[in-house]
Amino acid sequence: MNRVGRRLRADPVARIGTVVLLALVLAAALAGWIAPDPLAGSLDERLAAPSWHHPFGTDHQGRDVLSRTLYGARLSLGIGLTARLVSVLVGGILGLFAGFRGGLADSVIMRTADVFFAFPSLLLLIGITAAFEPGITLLLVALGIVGWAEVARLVRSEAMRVRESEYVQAALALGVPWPRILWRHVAPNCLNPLLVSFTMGVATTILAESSLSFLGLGAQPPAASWGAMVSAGKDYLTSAPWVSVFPGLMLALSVLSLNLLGDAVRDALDPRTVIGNPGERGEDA
Amino acid sequence: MIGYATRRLLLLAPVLLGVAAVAFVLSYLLPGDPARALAGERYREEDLARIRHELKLDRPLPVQFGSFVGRLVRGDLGTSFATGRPVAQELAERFPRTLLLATASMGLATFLGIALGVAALIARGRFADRLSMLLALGGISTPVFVSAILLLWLFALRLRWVPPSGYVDLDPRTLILPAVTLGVRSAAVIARMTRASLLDVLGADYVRTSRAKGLREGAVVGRHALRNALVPVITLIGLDFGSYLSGSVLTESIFAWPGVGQYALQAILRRDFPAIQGTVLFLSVVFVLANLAVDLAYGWLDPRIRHRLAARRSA
Amino acid sequence: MSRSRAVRLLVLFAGLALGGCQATPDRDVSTLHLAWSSDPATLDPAKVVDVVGANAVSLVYQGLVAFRADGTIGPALAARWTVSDDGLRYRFELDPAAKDSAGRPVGAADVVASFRRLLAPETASPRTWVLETIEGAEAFRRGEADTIRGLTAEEGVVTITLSRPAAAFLALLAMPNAAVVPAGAEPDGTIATGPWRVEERVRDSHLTFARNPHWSGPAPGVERIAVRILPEEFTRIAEWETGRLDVLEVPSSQADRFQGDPRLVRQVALVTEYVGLNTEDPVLSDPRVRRALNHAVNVDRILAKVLGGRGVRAVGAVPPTLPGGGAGEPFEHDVALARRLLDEANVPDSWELELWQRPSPFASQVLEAVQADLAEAGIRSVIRRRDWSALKASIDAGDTDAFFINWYADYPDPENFLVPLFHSRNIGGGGNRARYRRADVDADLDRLERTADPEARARLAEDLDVRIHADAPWIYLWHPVQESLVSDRVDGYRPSAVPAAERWLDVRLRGDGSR
Repeated sequence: MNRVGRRLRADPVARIGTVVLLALVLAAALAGWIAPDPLAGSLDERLAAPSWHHPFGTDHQGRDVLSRTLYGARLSLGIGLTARLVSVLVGGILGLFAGFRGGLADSVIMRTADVFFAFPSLLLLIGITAAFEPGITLLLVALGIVGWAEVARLVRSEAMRVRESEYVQAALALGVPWPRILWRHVAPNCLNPLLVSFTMGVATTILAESSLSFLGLGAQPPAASWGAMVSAGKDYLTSAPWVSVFPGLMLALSVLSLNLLGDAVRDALDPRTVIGNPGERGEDA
Repeated sequence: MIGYATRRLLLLAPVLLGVAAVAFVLSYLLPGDPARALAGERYREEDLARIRHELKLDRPLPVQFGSFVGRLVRGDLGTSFATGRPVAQELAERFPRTLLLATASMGLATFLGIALGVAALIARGRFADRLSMLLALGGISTPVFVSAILLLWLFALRLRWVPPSGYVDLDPRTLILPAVTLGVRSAAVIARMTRASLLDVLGADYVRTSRAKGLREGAVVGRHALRNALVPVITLIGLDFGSYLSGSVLTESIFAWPGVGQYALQAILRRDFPAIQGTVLFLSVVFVLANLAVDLAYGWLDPRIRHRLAARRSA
Repeated sequence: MSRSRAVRLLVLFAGLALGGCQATPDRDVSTLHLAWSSDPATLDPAKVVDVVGANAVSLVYQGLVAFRADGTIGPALAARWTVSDDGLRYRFELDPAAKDSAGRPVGAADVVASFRRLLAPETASPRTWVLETIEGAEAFRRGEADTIRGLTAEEGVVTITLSRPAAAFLALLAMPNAAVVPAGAEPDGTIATGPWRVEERVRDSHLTFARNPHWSGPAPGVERIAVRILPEEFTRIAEWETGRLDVLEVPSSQADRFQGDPRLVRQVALVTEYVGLNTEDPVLSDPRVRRALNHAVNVDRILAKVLGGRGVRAVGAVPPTLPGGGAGEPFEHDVALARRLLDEANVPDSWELELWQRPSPFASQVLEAVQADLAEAGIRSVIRRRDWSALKASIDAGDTDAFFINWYADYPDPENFLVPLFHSRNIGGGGNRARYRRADVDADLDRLERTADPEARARLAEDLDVRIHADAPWIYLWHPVQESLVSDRVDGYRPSAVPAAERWLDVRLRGDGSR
């Protein structure tokens, strides 16, 4: 972890990314205090240009775009972080198990991962979000499911590597129960790639959510993620650009800073890889 | 290598069966039913029942799944509920368009990305390097629908250099905007990869040797490092290409590009089960094959990897 | 229309740096350029149910009669017809010159074949109701009879006998579903009976219609109609702005920016938008609650702000342009009255109304405004969004409390806004999505269907519309004003009353109007 910290301090670009991200998280956390009600609006103030009173202008319902953007940070960042956590947990546990145990468990888990990997992911997302009661929980599950296969592959190969190491082999030979070895020795060694995959994946997940919102399948109104705001505002792009430009900017900015942070984390923890950000399936994010 | 490819192809069968099962379950989980989607806003219940019967939706689910798999085994993707045409034919019409867009995007991305990556590397540590890498990150961070709308607005609406939308049989220039939209994103990823990979290779011994011989930096990069550094870049290109082949729903609908992505979205919205299942299956095959091609190319380009592939085979 | 200065500067700069090569569309006066929001899934008259499909089918196929642009009914395959005094027997004399686009005569046998196909069980058409009043149609549809008893063909004459008088029968025959496909031809528009035939079709991309050279009516003013399929509003606008479209229906989100544009043509559409209330719901079954909802929503304000005034407030289901329409008294916006009515009805405080919509930005805007108004009257509500297929299934099954939806006229007749929407036999998929059920209303609706005399029909329709409105099975919203942009080079454009009437017969293009 110290390596990450050093890296962040040393690299000015990474530093900027971290500061921006922290500012966004802070804004999201404090939205309740600093911003007026994101749902309060009067049709009389519809599509008002940015002013002292509404620094980002108002949207088609006369709601303050600044405060909606701040609350949107909560939703977008929150969904991105949580959904990715779901992917990393599910994929991590299954990958560990498959890589360490091998055999039938490995085959079953990895073939399932292959299925999810091969399945066109945006279609899977659209399908899942259309099939069930839309809402945050569903979004989290859907986005989480789409990402797990990739994590599982990553962790599995790491777990296999660790299993072959002398001390794990020695522990096995000494009759130490395998769950204990898995937990004590294998899991901690897989933490770095997991952390890298988590940081990188959050950005992808936020983009995926925004794609879904663009199709009307993301966060449900009146709550608005950034993607939903951009989508609702795109029809006013020429007459009232502020409705979609500000949330769009925030979206890009947060993804950008997450990518910067992800780079730094990767460079610090995983010097072996040179992979940039290969992105995931469904590049339409 | 042939053995490896064959083994991978054999492994495709269970994966595709899984994909088929997920696609089947997912389409039946979708709320609303295909018969109602076909019936419109004013219909009689008897007619609805009749439509259901004709679509064989009134049979038990296991029977429906059985006949679905049976059809697949015979290579039949079924008939679209909405249009009454074979799904295979619908895909055969649309896939070449998606292929064209994917090829153009990746061509552009390859050229731009490698050029930018090399330029950044040569200027590494300097402002130009940081700026181009930040720009590349910006390319990755902008949602596709945002860049699509901005490009359309600027180049078609304001500057009027290109038509806003359409497919090449209307006007060849219609390819430009969607290709740039997707290409810029991939170019950004490729540029970062090229730079990182070059940096890696430049640390290697033989590069140091040629530098010691007094070759100029440009020559070092161009003559020796680039070829080796491109191996992971090509993998990346292959992966992105593979994913564009499954259609880019948003890009296609914004630019009215009649490819498989739009078709898939419509199939879902219309609850056109055979179209959903057929498209998903077809796209999965394309993706898996593209991945396989990438792996093989990887091994072919870099003999060292062949051994690793052999190792992975046992996994 | 305000653009930010920075953007203008950027554009100016980019334009200076790279300017010159402008993309200009080719313009020829023989082809009319249009845009549709979706590709019609089918051109089969027996299967078509959507607006775009109705539009397309009416271009390539015609029935015995056809809608004129103003919605009145004129001759098509039938040159003239007579109706017996009891309104049960129709005798159509076919136009002897009628030919399909392959040059083959279209006769009585083709008409019978098409009607049989619509009703045949194996066709599984969702639109059998269009011909359901023909005697013997039901037995044939169920497979109990081999022929349709009330449908006979002789040389050049089709005779139809109805099982009960149906005043709107001619209008039903003008619907795209009753259009005639040449016997034995694929129903894909390539061999057409209407003014146009499909010349080229690239699915999801474009459709080109060319004149049917053998059509017996007067030749259309242009040789071709080129239709682009453009699903995104933003893209349609861009195509219009760059001069690639001759006529464009203005999406409501873009209406503001085209105000004052001299190329704008507007008309009150034969459409009613409303929030349907499930009258079978325990709370909503009380008319006081439903009236309270109508009093709570400030329709005039939403109309002014969200629609920019582009609509006429609905005081009934029937649009004011139809006989008997527009006679009701609007529910006044009165929050206090709404609260009082809710108190009288003993609505529990915990009551929460679910407002359902499809995921369109416009629907969200309307319902978010409705939600805000309801909140002011102390009514809690949540918005539920589902894609159209899911939403329709929920509504038709009666699973929804309240839903934002609209009704497009199939034919311009008040009956079309009353019988399907409020007759108890049409509950659910038949059109009565409020699940409204009143015996006296049913009886009068039956009477309306039979009444042929225009004046008596209008009086009856008005009485029904006003009565139902007072009972408030919906939150009545508005009849939208449809706006179309028509380019300078188009001559003779008239907005059509119903989609099936839009056949582009009188439109001509001027060579000098190109931009």
